Parts: sequence; structure tokens; C-alpha cells
Amino acid sequence: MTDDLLSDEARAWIGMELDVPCAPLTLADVQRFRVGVGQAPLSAEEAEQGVVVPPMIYQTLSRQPVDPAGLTRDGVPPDRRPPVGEGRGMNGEVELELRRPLRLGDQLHGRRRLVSLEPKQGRRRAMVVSTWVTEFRDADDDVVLVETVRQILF
Amino acid sequence: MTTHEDTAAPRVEVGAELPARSKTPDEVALFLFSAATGNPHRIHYDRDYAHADGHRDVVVQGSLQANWLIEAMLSWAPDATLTAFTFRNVATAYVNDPFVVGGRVAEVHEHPDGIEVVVDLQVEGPDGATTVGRGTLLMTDGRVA
Repeated sequence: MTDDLLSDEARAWIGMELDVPCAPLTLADVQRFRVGVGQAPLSAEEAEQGVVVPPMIYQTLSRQPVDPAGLTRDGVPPDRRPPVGEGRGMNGEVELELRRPLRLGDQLHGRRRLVSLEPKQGRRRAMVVSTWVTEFRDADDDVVLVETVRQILF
Repeated sequence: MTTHEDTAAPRVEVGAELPARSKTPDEVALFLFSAATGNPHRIHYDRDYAHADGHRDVVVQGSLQANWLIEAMLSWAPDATLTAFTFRNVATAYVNDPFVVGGRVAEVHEHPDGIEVVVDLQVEGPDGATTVGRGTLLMTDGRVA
């Protein structure tokens, strides 16, 4: 039953690699992110003393602006998602390995790879777990962060 | 005279609880997080859409809860460096619900640069956990705030 969800077309996605361009990390990004998570923005004095960059800000830097005309009915950008089942998905797990803290001025670039598609039988439905691994490197090409995302497709 | 030992924060031990933090995200909080992260998903701001999608109200972003978990760790150990973090959204979290963010030290390891502390974390809503996670902190002095 679960194998029905995983077509040859979907299997052909395994190993696919995508570039993940990122915007450079600025103080304005940090300030917006702090407000977004309910923290006060840094004062000029605090910013001068040193800025601790929130680790999860990489998600913002790697999310490129999208033409609103291209958004789906859900309001999200069309996903690069393997063709599984009804085309629906939900977040599973996110795993981060942080090789070093992010710093202002970092210019990251990411490379994302679809590592696997695994059929599973859940309690309520058959599903496929997709695992994408993204390596984010800095301008010196050193790996700064490795993200593994598992998404449930059905 | 006060000695350093008198004022120093306690060392980290397995089983130590992180101070619980309360969160009650309202519509403005959800909007600000969506705006900051460029996330236009309707379930986070369009109540009618959220209802039609089977939710009882607009949905708190999973990544916002992940940030709460990181905040809980780094408030507890402000001088530590986060080296690894995993999170999983296990149930839907809804706007204006009260949440408690907490954690517990699961492992403590020696490290060449100090100690490595593994913390199990969770966001607890009115109906149970909505997000669980695990973070690894490198602490050069082995003490918390």
C-alpha cells in the first residue's frame, strides 16, 4: 500500500541537488528576526558591543522573495517537492549541525540534496518521508551549518 | 568578603531543569514572525482559511516554537555556544493559547574546550507537547546563569 505512493517518477528525484542562494547577513536582518521572535531590537550601544546572531536566521536568509502571483492557494511558494500522493506535505523534523556561530556579514550559499524517499505506514495514512540535506558554506567555502529536513508527504 | 564560589552559578548536572518560560503568542506575534521570515502561509494569519483547513484557529509557526527552545537554552546558558539542535513539531499549536517552554539536562560530557551539555526541550500547550527538541551546548566554564 505504501509503495503505491512512491512512483518511479518520484524515485527519480532521489539524489536531486538544488542551489540555495542566500542573502548576506546584515544587522537589519538580525533586528527584524529579534522582533519576529518577540525580542526587543538591539540598541545602538548593544549592537556596538557585539551582535549574537540567532542561529535559525539562516532560514530567513535562504528564503528568496517570490512573485506573489506564483503563490499556491495555501499562500506558500510552489515547493520543489517530489510528486507523491495528493501533493500534500507536513513538516516532520529539522536537525541542525552548527559548525560555527553565524556572524554579521556572512554570505552563505547552500546546496540541497534529496537523500532519500522512504515509504511508511502511519496510523492514519500511508506516507513518504523525504529527507533533504543542505550544506551551507561561507565565502571561504567552509561548511558553517548542515540542515537535515524530514518532511512527510502524502 | 564574598568569594567567587559564593556567587558563582551552579555547575551543570544531569537532570537539572531549565527555568520554565511562558509564551502566549497573539496574532501580532504570529504576523511579526511570518514577516521576519518571509512566510506567507495562510494558516498563520487567515482564520477562515485555517478553519477550512481543519484547524480550530490560526496556527503558531513551528519555527517560532523552535526559536523559543533555543531562547530557553541560551537564556539559561548565555555564554554557551549552540553546536547542534533538532526539533520536531508533534502537535498543532494555536494562537492565544498559553505555552510553557522548558528543558532538562539529559547528558553532560567532557570536551577539550569545556563541557558539552545535551538538553531535552519541549513546548507544552494546553493539550500537551506541541514541539520537542534537543540541543547541544558547548560551555567553556561549565556554569549557567
